[in-house]
Amino acid sequence: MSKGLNLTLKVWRQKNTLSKGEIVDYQLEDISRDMSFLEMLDVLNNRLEKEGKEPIAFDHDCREGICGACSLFINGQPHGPMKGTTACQLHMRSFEDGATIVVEPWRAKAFPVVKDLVTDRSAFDRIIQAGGYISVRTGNAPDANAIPINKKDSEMAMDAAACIGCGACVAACKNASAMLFVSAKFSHLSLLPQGKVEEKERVLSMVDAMEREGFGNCTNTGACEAECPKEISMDNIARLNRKWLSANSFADV
Amino acid sequence: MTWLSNFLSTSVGRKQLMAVTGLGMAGFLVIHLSGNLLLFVGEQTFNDYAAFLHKQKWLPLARIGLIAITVVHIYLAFQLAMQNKTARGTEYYYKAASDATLASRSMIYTGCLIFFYLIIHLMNFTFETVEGPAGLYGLVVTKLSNPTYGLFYVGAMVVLGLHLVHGIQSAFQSFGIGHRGHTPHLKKALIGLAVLISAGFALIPIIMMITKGGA
Amino acid sequence: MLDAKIPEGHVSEKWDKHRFKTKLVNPANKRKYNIIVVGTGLAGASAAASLAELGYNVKAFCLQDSPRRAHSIAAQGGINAAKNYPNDGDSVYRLFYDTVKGGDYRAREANVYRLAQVSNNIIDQCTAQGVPFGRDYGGYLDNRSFGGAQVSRTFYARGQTGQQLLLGAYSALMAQVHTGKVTLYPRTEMLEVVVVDGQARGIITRDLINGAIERHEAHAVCLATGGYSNVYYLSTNAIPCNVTASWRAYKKGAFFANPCFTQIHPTCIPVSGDHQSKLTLMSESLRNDGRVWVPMDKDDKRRPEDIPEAERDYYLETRYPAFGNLVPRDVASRASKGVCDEGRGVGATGLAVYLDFEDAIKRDGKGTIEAKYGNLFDMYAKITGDNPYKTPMKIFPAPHYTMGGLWVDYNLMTTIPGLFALGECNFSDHGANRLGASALMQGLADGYFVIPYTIGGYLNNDLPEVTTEHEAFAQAEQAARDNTERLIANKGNRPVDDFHRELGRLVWDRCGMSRSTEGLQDALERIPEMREDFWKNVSITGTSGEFNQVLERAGRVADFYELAELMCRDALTREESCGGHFREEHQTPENEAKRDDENFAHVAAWEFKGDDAEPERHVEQLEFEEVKPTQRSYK
Repeated sequence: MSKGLNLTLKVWRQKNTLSKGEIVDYQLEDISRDMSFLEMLDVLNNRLEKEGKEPIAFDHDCREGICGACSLFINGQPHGPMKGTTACQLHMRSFEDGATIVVEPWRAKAFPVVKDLVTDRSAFDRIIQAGGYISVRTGNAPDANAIPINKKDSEMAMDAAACIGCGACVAACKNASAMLFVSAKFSHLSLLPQGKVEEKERVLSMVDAMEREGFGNCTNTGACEAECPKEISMDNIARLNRKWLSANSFADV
Repeated sequence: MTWLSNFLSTSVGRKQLMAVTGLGMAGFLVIHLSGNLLLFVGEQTFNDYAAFLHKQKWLPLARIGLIAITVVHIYLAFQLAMQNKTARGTEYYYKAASDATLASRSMIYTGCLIFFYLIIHLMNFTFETVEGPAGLYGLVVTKLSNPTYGLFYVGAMVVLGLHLVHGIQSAFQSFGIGHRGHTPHLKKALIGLAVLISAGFALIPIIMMITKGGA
Repeated sequence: MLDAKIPEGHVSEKWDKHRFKTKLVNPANKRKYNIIVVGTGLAGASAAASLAELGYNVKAFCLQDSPRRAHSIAAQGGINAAKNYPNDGDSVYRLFYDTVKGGDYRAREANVYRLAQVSNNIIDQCTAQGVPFGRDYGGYLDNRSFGGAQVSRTFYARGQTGQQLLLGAYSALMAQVHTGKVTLYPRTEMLEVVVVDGQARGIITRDLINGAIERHEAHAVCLATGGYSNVYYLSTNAIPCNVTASWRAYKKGAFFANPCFTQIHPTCIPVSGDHQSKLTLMSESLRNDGRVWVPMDKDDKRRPEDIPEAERDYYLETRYPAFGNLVPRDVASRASKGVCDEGRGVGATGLAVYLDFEDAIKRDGKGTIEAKYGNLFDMYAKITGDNPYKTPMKIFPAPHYTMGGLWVDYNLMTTIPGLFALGECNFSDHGANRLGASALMQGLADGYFVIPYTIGGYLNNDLPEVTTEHEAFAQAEQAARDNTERLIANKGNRPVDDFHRELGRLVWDRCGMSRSTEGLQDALERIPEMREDFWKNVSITGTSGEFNQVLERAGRVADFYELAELMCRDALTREESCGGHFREEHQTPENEAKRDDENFAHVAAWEFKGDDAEPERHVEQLEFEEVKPTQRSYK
């Protein structure tokens, strides 16, 4: 373990949304296995800055796996090879000495590239705006214990609410579908009594908003669930489908 | 009537139309297969069944219905496939082994193959003039015991199986009939059903090819 | 003397009376007012949503690509409230009392009492929004005890309470964006506050995608831009967390209070090498079962499992027999630093101590420990590659939270009329030390339940019509442009991170866990030199008219240099030890912090006097009518 890793990095570089991008190769030497993947990119970026070259742009924020900012497609997998792990929590000990690592941005028409590995994921915000909330004004709330909630329902809601909105599901899906994201938010609210009131409107408007953003269609392949860093279940997609069907077909006259 | 147009204008709705038309065709396959299995009961039974079926007044209607759901299914399949293709935008540089099953990734291709098979199948039997004393039974036996046809039919049933293995259980998911408690079993049962349908059809040419010498 | 505008009356009546006396804005008039909210964490998102619900026109700004990524999301443990659901003796008064005492008597009583009062409304509001708090089998909300509190008053959503609360506030904000009452500006950084005739009337921003410098007008500006722990370079904060917005406000006339009050959290994963970019917090709850130790002998390089019991020093248990491993954050952190300074630290860098679960596993069984801490152990294993069930964890203190910040009065208004500061970016209700699970409470209290009332009182003042064509906007815009161009013109050969790391190390050494006169004086000499070096030799690639992360970071580091100086100056003038501020000259014979209530029971608020002049220190005297100061002891 004394010697660090020697790596070949193949990174997508693109100046801005309109320009054409390309894969650029970088050689890295003596990379510590204790580094996180992002710290490895920091090392490369510091070298580029010293040389007066533009460093690689990538989104990152908390670097502890919870904010959902990081969004690297590493060797064909969103967030890289480690299951249930975001790129910022992926460490270089997951790679072999001499490895070639390809790093790309999320690819989806709804997530245009801003620069290099940075994409615009505001489509997710717009889907939430369409109905991913419970309409309760500040001050309106009854006592928190006024409505007991079955522990199991509450735990299931929390499972769905754990989504970090990173977009790995879209990146992994062969159709670039956002169904796992949308269904996770919908399910979180739908599993709680507070969320039932607006359920019908919510499911219809969130699905409509998703449509407008140009995501692909879910073909139930399951790649999203396999790659989700928070291991959100496809059961949520089933729930969304079911609730949409009933909201759309059996709506009040 | 927005609820109706929502089925066509939203991703979830279109998938549910795919599911309902797909399940309709799968249902037809089950009836078709049970009819075909009469081949093994005997020549007379099978030909009587065929004649009985052709006498029914509702047959043209059923045919139109079947054609309609097939057309809808195919139309939506292409529409969805095109949308899915454009939704990606730029392709990935790194081509990874997918997390998804072969069956789920190849639906549009297996679907196309099944369509071509369907045309040949219709020309072989439905639009073929039935001659000779053995009637339709004779035609079927002659065709399917021929190794060229027989193997082609077996191959087609493998493709059909692949399509159904993903299609049937996926249809249930699209309706949201799924739950952590019973989905694993439901899913297994639906996959089993798909295998059973395609294996049942495939069995016919296989047995005919084997028994041809003796029959 | 600063006037905090604390209302008259008993502490329990102040907020009610104040709300009654504050003039209201006519519902029909609310739509005539524009309010800017900078930052979309717990404080910012809750404020923006609540103000929009009232009818104001709100513009909300954040650095991140989405408001949902603000760093409030990373809070793990929980949120306190005085609900007393467990029936174990909690009350508003007790939460108030604990918070004032925990803050080592350097917080404003009236604010803390209000915080405790509204804490219950926060839990109601969040539950109604769909925050999936932990529940018991009867379906009612569960509480746990946290950070050594004697009552169970902490509400939690697994280990992701901050995430769930933020998503609640974010969803409320998104609902208002949908109605059109809030306009959202993601990936936008505030560079200047615009002051017109002494009133804050807008901000200047930079669009981080295309570099456009823009003017935004409003009747009031709320900053909710978080803390400045990243001045240490390594901290538990997110990489982009910065002081820029507060600092630019300070330079426009807002006083900066108690900048030296920073909190160092004792249980973080230690640094693994020079490449380290941030530190990850391990929940404080681990100290309930883990035992902290280092080898007796400083040259002991054996594996921890091979060191016999007699040669281990369980230093917290020996020094503080009454509290043992559960002493408060500041005490635990200082003790770890002490043993590492003696050369007894462990790990590759010598900057770590063991947190050992061997005895707990022997006593309770692996299953019990796994049920309690499984997710934390997994996270630790993911980051370090070590298995904490087999070998002790290594931990070390890390900067975590800043109690200091922009000075605000009872209405959360800074010394610039019309400029408000909410959440961690104000000097807050935590005095010299924040208790666990109180940060989330304060952020949401400010945003949901304080600012919606107090801002109305301000808007009732005479506010002349101002447009972005006003001269003050042009000047502020020019200042922002000049600063950006001055940065981008630097084509040296040292990366920004290098400078930041160097500054961080100095501030950590001199103004971190313990501070001394010589150390602080040395830092005050060296920081200006380092700053000069930065402006000469920093390498800033690219242009100002594009997405440029180097430029962003450089601007923030430039402000950290100036803040670091003020922190050291504040630490030097506060001739006492209190909470997170430990002056080596002021300790008891047992090496504990020694407060000087006679001379320092006050808030120190600094006024900017120009780039080349020394800032002026103002004082807000703290009156303790309810909670009488006593010396803390954990022996």
